[in-house]
Amino acid sequence: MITDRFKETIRRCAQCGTCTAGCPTSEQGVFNIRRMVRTLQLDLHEDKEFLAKIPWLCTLCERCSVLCYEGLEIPKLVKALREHALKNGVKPEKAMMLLEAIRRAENPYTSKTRTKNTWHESVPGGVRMSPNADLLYWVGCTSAMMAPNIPKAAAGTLNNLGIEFKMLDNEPCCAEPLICFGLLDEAAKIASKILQKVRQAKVKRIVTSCSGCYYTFTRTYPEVLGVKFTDIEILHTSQLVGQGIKDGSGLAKAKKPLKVTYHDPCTLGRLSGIYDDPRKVIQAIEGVTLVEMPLIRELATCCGSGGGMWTYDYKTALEICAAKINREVVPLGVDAIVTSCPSCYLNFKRSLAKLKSSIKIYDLTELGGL
Amino acid sequence: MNKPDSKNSILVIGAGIAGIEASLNLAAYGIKVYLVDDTPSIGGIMARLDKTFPTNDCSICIEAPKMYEVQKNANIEVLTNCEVRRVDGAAGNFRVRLVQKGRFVDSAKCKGCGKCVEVCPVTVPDEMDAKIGGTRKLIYIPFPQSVPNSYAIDNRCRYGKSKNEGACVGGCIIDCIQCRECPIAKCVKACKEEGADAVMLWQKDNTIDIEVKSIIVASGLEVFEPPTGFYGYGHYKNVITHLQFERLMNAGGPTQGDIVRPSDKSHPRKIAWIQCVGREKSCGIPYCSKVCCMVAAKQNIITKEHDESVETFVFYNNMKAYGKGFHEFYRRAMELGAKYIKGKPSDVIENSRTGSLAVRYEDIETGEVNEIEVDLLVLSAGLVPNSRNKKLAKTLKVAMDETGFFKENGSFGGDPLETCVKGIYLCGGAIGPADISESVTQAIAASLKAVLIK
Repeated sequence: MITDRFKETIRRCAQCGTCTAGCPTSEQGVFNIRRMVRTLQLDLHEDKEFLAKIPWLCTLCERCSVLCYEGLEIPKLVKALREHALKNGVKPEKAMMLLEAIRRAENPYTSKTRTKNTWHESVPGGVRMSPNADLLYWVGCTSAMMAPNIPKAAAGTLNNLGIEFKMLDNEPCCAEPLICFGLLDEAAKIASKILQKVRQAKVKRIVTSCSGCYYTFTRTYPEVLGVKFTDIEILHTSQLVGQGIKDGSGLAKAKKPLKVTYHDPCTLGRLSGIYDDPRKVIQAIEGVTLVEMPLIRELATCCGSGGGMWTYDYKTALEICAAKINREVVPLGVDAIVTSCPSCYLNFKRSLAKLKSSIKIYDLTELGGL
Repeated sequence: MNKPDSKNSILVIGAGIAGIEASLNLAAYGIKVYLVDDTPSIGGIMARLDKTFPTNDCSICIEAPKMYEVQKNANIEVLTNCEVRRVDGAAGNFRVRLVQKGRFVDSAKCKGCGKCVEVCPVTVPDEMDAKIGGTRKLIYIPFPQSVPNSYAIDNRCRYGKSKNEGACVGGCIIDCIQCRECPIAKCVKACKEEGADAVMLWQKDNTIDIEVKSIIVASGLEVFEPPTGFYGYGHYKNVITHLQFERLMNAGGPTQGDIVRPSDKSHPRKIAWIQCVGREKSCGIPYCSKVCCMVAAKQNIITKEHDESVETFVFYNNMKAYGKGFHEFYRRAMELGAKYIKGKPSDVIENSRTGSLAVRYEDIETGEVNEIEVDLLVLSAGLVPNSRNKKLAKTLKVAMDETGFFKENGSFGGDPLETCVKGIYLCGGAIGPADISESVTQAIAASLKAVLIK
């Protein structure tokens, strides 16, 4: 019973509305997290209509947990409600499509597994890989298939910095979407398989440019699924680059002066506590000036793409992003937004295009090559 | 100082309204009272407030006569700038060592003419009013009604730490303590010219040993300081706490009672209050501070009385109007046009051009997420224990509770106002958040308990 498992959370909610006011989705008028908890307080959550719609509109950005008086972890409740919905025969069509894709092709984008590894074939001069490297570059589905410029830039940066790495031939999905939808048993199976693959690759470190994969490996696998990468260090590219920086050495200079702001991805920032390394990288690149948005670090607002929102309600995801751009980015007068998550990158890219804005979006790994 | 009978003396620690009330009461019983405070004046927080709730009486007009009565009363010895260093013995005969820090001005000689302040070259931010633009000189009087009504010199000046900021003192080969006159300090010269010769930078700390039969702790409260960046506090100039707003309203405050924004000194047309600041998990106050709801109602009423065209909003979640006349007071604020909105805001973003603040909230009654722009934002921050409680508890060997207040013996009807040490009693903000009338009632009760110790 959800009401038993989350008894404390449900009981302690004072219905003050801070979560709703600070929630990216509620701004679009389609979701009210306080009312969601109220529904549980009143034991009305078995309603099929409620289960089919409400829990799926959360981006799992966890901003509400930071804002909450009591520090209640509402996103955990959301995941449990999704799981509960699926187990009770409530199957939202779009969520099911995503699950099918992962089951069939090991990626959430309904393509074949094979296409995931083609991005580096188009790199002029190729990507230099070292079969004996003890560092594994984990690309991630979204980067590989939807934003190939990110792995290209990341691999380029690693090459430039003289860091040797290799990649997996058939990199599977890390199962983050399954975890978002509460399908933990299925996710645990994938996690064990990945662990086995990584062990076979004989690496000591994994570096990824995907914030989602990073969070999944470092926090969700051990804490939720009980799968631990013992003796293998997991790093985000911003950490690897940021911690290796000495006066920007190895990083290219910007070709023209650039004023940028940094968007903290939820999975890397609030959920993983990595705020300083990406900023360090930005500030180390000559010619780039960093201007901060009003809400940053643990209070940074979500771009709207997380938690399966992109799949479930693409239009809302873009609207959330557009609202963020208009409220927080435009007044800064910056040339570009920099982020370090492929989902955020894509959502910003499409929202900026829809807004016909002249502001550019870059992934952190791209910044050195501009 | 002639040593009075320890069987007939009581020490009161803290000279806010609770300590003052307890002292007056004890003196009326014929007890010799030592009233100790570690600041340069008695009066506490109440002396700095504009009005009291729920009657809107002038705060200092009620307290000042009591302060003067304390000063005049032959049974009460006021020791300001004074700390309790050591306590031995037991109920009936506590041996207490007090250390009175230098004030560097002889209160008995000082005429209060203010010539020293005129000549002092260094202006520093005032402890209480810094955020709303309050300043003072290195030689200063805490507030106009201070008791003792004499000036005091900032430690930083006396120990030569302000030389770089332009202070006349500092950099001498010998310490002030070795001089009996000072050819450098402008305040010393000005005071001599006025014929008072009260400034003495060479004043030493004074150790005072006393014997008392019981002790009353009235160490009071502080207003919680929100963390930097919380609702923009510390980052945005026009986000202030309710105590700072109170100082803006106060004729004795840095703006002489003119309610103006710290950023540009303009008159705000829209003001919002956010209640329960500090109760958030990240801020760590686990209790309700009791007074903030009425403080906000009071500040709304006063604002509306100043200028009824000013729009005011109060964001609240849990209205506590528990005392006599409190609910009517809250209703009065609403009748005057204060808009009470149920819902706790999530974010505050400053408009960098105008300095106004966009406050984002969910209106719980409609479920809608809205944003309003206000010119000034007041955070109704909670009340926290005096930061010096820990040290004092150690000296007195009395227990504290988990929130940092002093612990009452078997609270909730057990032995109210009593500590785990027989002969040491509590009143007012030392126990927990309390308003003025509650503090006064407790002070009277504690003083009776203290008197009854044989």
